[in-house]
Amino acid sequence: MKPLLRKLAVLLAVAMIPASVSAWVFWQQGKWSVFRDDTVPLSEVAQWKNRVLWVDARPAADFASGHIPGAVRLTEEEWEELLPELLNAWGPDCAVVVYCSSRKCQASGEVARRLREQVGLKAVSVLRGGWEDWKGGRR
Amino acid sequence: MSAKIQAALGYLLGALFVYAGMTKALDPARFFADIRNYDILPWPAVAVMLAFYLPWLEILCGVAVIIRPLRAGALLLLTTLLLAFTAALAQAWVRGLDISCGCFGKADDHPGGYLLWIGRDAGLLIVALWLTIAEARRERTR
Repeated sequence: MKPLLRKLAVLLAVAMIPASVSAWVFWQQGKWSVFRDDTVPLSEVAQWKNRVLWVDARPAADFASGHIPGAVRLTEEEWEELLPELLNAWGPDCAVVVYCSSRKCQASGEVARRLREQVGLKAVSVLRGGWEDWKGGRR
Repeated sequence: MSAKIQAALGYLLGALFVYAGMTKALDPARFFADIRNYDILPWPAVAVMLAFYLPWLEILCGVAVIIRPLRAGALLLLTTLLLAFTAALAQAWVRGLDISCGCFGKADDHPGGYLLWIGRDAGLLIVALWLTIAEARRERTR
């Protein structure tokens, strides 16, 4: 039993070395901000003074059946085709809020992450509860 | 015959975990998002730690399964990890979360394949458990 525990301890401890180095490099590259909680409730967005650019990360059929007024569509699958429209609507004064269908979907988080990392937009948030919360009017 | 099958499965399992770990270690931000999507951990800081630590633990255990000295410990850890992954997937399925597995980074990015993911993890779990027991018996007879 003791040799097995020793092996376990060695593996668990050694894994900490590259993990710490990796975290340190990430920190040095200034990427640590990706770990902040980027979700905002509707009540908070309603109080913002900036112009809000709503980004709908749901499939086209869902968008067609109803969306937040003024929202532009952007999904990971149609990234190249839809991104120009978003960039046309975007301005340096606006805050981008991405939403998908509900709290149970991850599409908005992925789109927000790509907008920050690949497009370089700074003020990008995810609407907590998504379209479901908007429709429910939980402001 | 059984020893040869075990050796082959050991190499496969090890290589698979090295690959899985590499895909996650190369993009910790994405793995962090994948962990958060499971909606299990109430503390983001723990998800950050896991996003950096788990991939390297997988790589190390995968290598250790292939290269003998720490094999028994590595197999036990992989069995435990697979058990945890399967449980995490099952709870997400029950709760109806529309998420991607996150098991191989961006490589398996398609949401909604719970049956496939759980089946795959359960299969790997059986293999890992069998190899763990076999390795423990082998060590006892040494």
